[in-house]
Amino acid sequence: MKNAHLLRWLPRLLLDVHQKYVCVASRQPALHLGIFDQSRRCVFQIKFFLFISFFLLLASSAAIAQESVCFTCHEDIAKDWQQSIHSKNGISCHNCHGGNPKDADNPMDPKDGFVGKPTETGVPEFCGKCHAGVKENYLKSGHSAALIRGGPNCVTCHTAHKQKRASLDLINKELCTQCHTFDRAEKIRNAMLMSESEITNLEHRIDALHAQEYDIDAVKKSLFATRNQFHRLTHVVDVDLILKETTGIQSEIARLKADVKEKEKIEAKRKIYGSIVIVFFLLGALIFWWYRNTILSD
Amino acid sequence: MFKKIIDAIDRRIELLDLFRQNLSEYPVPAGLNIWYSMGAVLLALFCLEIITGILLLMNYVPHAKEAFASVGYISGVVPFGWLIRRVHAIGANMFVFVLFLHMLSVLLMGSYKKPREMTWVVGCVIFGVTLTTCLSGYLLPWSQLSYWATTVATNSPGSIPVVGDWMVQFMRGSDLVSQRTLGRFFAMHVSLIPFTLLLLIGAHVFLMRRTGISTPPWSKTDKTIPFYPHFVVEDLKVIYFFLAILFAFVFFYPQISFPPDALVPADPLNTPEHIKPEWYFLANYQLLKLVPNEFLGIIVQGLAAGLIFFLPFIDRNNERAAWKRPIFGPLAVFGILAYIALIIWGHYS
Repeated sequence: MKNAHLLRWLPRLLLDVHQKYVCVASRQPALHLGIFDQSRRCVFQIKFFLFISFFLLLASSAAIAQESVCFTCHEDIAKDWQQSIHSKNGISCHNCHGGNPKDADNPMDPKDGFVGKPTETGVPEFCGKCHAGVKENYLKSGHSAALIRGGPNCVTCHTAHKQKRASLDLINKELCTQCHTFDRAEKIRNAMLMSESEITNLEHRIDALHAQEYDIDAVKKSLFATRNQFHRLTHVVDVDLILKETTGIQSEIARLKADVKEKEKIEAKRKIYGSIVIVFFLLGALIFWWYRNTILSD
Repeated sequence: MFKKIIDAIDRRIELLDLFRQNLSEYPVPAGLNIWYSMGAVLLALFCLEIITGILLLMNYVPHAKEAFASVGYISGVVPFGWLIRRVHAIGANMFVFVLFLHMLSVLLMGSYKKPREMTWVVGCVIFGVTLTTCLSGYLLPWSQLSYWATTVATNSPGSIPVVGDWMVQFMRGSDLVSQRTLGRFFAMHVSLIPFTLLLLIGAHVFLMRRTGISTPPWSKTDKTIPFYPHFVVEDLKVIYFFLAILFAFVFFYPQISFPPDALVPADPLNTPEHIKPEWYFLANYQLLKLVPNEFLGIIVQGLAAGLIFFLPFIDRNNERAAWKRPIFGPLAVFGILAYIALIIWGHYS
């Protein structure tokens, strides 16, 4: 198992090693019953391992995305991939298909974990390696039940290599009517529309605050989690479930909105005080100009 | 009571005499306009930079692992830290901009000519040191922008034959921009450079005081006005005007100094897509891109800098006003326009 697989499983491996050996060595096995914060030492060790593994993962995807030999033969796919959200986030060919992107002679060696192109029915499992929550919801859906009869899988809507950032635009008449009428899809879309537009609006407001150097990391992470939870729901293709879950999502959105509003109020205050300062200096300049041209000119 | 204290001090050290000699009875040409106040604006901005710099220093941590977080702490937790940081960063940009205006006015009004050659030379050194201050300060927040802009900037000398690699190594303290680079740049930015700049500004003001303020080329009279209060009020007017502009950016458009890459911590493994230096280095950056050989590009820039530096000794013509000189005038305007064009080109390239 070389680079790709090693890096994929490294966080887990490190955590296992830590649990089996490090904490046993420090005679604190009870701390692994979910009460980590009782021991700073233990938490620090885990954080350290996770940091190292995350750092290595990041390093490998950022560096390898630039150096992948896959692009030399699969030029068209590379062009599509470059426009994708995967490319933007440093997810390269080998992260999904395995293999060794640095080995120009034999990049597709199964020994390096190369799995190639998945079958139609294997796509949910293939994508679900990373998008586990989405896969879970998809498997509950009518889409999944119809998969064996040629029903839609992930790439039917998201495309294989040109995946855009998921949005409600994906639920559209042109796409859905390839297989069935738009009625049910439209109901789902309408049920999600309000929350989706609120999330999008909140994202813009958070970005504006970030540009003003506000600490919005926590809010941004919460919104990202809410957005993912919300988008995952779509894959069940169940209007009732979406309507039921929307209540919880709405309350989370309301909480985040209150946080953002608080910071926006501070920003508005700053701008008012800023205007006063600017007017003070402009008035001062005017007074000096008047003083120089009237009293001192004599 | 206050007058008694002043009189008591004056009887001992003759302070009022000094005040009369250097301020209230010190004559300056009557036709001075806004361009003659640029030096005073620069002095005010320098003071602002020193004050805000000291305040930032109280909470900044010059370590690669903590620098970005400490800057975030200053902006988010320290009372008025956001204001101090914005004033420092945007004020530095304004300092460079006003310095350009100051040099431009001196160039077009021929104020660098005899007997003010030394004032010009010291001014040029101040300009160079200012750019070094900006470069060293740029790295300190340890953001993606600062890290990669410094990487690009410190790469340039590498193309100089024989000593290039050594120079890069000397500047960075290591092969790549690292903690060692941060340590060096921090030490330079907060100790060596400000004191050097202070000495140079002192020398510049001293030379200006000894040779006197140059009479505007358009002035047809020898009439003078006292420096205080007449010219001081004129200076204050322009200083207040520039401070209003500074605070307009600070409160309403801080993004001018903090683009998105400046808000992300430095990641040596992830190069941002379009990394570019600050606006005052854009002309140099674009010129290096245009000239096929990087070393040749550095030579061209060195020659241009040398020409500007030695200008008072090269240009011996008695006529001061650039607009009255058929060869020098168009050449100077062409040079300025070319410089602005390179900045714009560099920005959009």
